[in-house]
Amino acid sequence: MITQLIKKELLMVWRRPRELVILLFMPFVLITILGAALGSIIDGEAPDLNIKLAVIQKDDIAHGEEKIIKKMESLPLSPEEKTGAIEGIKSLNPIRILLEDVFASEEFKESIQVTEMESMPSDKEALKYSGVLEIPAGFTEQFYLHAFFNEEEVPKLNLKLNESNTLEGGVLKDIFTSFQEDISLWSVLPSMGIDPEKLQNSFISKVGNTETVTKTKPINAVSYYAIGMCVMFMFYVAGNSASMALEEKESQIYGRILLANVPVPIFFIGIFVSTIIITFVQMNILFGLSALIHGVSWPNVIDYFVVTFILSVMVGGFAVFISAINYRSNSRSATQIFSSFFIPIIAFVGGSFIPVSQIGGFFEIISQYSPGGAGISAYYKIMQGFPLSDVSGQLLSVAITTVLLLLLAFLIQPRRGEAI
Amino acid sequence: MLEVVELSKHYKNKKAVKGVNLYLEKGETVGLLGPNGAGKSTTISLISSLVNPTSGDVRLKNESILRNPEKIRNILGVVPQDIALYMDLTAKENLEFFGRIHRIKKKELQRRVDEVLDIIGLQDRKKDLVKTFSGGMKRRLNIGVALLHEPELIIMDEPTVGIDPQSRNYILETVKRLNVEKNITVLYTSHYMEEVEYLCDRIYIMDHGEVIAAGTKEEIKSILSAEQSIAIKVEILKGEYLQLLQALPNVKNISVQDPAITLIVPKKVNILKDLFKLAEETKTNIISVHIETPTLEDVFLHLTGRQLRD
Repeated sequence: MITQLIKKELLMVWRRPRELVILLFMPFVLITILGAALGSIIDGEAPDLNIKLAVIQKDDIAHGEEKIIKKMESLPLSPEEKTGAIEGIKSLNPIRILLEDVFASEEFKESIQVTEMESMPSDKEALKYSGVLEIPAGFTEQFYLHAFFNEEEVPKLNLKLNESNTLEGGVLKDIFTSFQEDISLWSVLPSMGIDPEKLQNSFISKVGNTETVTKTKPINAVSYYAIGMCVMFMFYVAGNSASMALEEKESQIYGRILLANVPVPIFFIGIFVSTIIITFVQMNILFGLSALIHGVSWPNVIDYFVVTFILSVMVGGFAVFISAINYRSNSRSATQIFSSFFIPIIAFVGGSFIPVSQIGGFFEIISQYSPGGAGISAYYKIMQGFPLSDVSGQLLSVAITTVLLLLLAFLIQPRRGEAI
Repeated sequence: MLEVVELSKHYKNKKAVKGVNLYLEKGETVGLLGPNGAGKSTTISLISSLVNPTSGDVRLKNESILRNPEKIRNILGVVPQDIALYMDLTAKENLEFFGRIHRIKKKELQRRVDEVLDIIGLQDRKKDLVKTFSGGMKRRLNIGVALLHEPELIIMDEPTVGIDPQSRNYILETVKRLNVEKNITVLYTSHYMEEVEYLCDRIYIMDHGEVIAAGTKEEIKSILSAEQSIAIKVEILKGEYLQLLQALPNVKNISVQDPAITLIVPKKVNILKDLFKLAEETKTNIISVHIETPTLEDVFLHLTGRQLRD
């Protein structure tokens, strides 16, 4: 008997194009739109940069090094101390680091195009560049004199930025501010007895890499919105099931079913199970399409199925609960409130639109254990590669919600002899 | 076969059914008449065990069904006033669904579905979605679902509402055939007096939750045996003329279906003289006057003060 009730529900949904559009087409379109539109915010991606840097090299690096090495050799030091100091000089050349290790590195060579120039370009010519860098004459010598002999000031690079090119100019300014700070640091290291070679790579890593806090797989925007939209739209299955159930009462089909000696709880179990199946299928279609078209993937498919099933059962609980209210109140107010008010709130609190971790605090805690937030959080962690045990809190919260909904539905459902 | 004893249903602010008594013998067709809100549908829900009564009893073959509603449900087919069908399923799928929940076995079900499709004349449309059907076809399928489990008793709640005359005739013939050929007992409610006159052996008339008259057609008509019905057709109906007619001392009932006025008056009273005099006074042109023996419609009007389709 339950099989017939379920089969009928599945056929009805399949034959209603409007419902299919709401349950399948809309979330998929939203995944695509939100993933693309908010991708850079969520992913923390750097926009494509095309920085043109003109470099006017007035400094003679080799000459500066040679002068310092000669000065070092004239000092009353042991041969070992002299060799160590000379190696330090050769390995710590700030201009070579800047031009060869930073601008020519993998991270920057595609976004920074360096053009060497003999002299300062005209104002008109300078507009073709994001910035013009002048390395003043005697820079290398001045740097070594300060670092090894505590003579002279820390030398400074001259950077002229193109103000009409704010994004690229801003990036250049950041790089050179950071570089200038670093050469100030390097210049005092020899006097403190620290090997400057150990620290010079920190500059490259600092400006060249995005560090991640955890060691788990980072989730991109499309994947995030695939989860967010799927969790949001799974609740519409509950609203839809409850709405279809009420149609059965309004058209007296429910009475007809009772007259066939079908107990009231069996009728509601039919709604419950069919909603679980529809939600489970909906999730698999949406995530399947997201995998095919957007490359959304799950490290452990079994874990994904477990989470999806548990969430589908919760949606089934919502369907039965709303149906019970509708049947008892003889109106579709509960469905309307649920679909137009409750689902958007569940979605917002759960983080379907923006990652709740960006808001943080108490809101983040509430979100994690709200019906939608628990689902999003569980999916998110599973997608990152966490084991199922790490989402047990969220799954327990979902299970408790389901049990409560079913209990309330059982208490609210119409009794025998209250069919109209 | 079925006996309803002092059946009442009270809601918070309304007494929907008040002490109704009625009975149905095996194989007879009984009409339940009443204007909107008379309590017919509630009475049907009480008889079919969908709603528990506040007081009273429904007895099937001398056994109360209140504690064991399954007994009546197994032998009962209900045709609700609404189209209680799934619009997104085909006619066959609807029949199969309701057949299966009635626990008809699969092989038997196919035979029954075919038989019912033949009875309701939808064999050639069985694979079409119900939402593509005309109103008449939907009504026929609505009846078909109630016949699937071969019930001994069918309750039909206005099964011909809103359909074309052809479909209506088809349904009436089907009900008559089921009653005559299969000896199915029928409780039939309708807004159409002629349907009840055509189908029913006995009639109950309900108003304000109570049975106000019961008996065979002849017995009911005899309520007005001392009365006559006068139908006046006028060129233009004037309110002034109507008011004067209503004020006549011997007029028991008056109903208006513009441009006709029907009066119920005692047979022995000669009212014609007054009718023409008042027409002259109000400058109303009378086209025709018919004096008739009262019909069931007239009796209904007399008893309820309303027309059946009000």
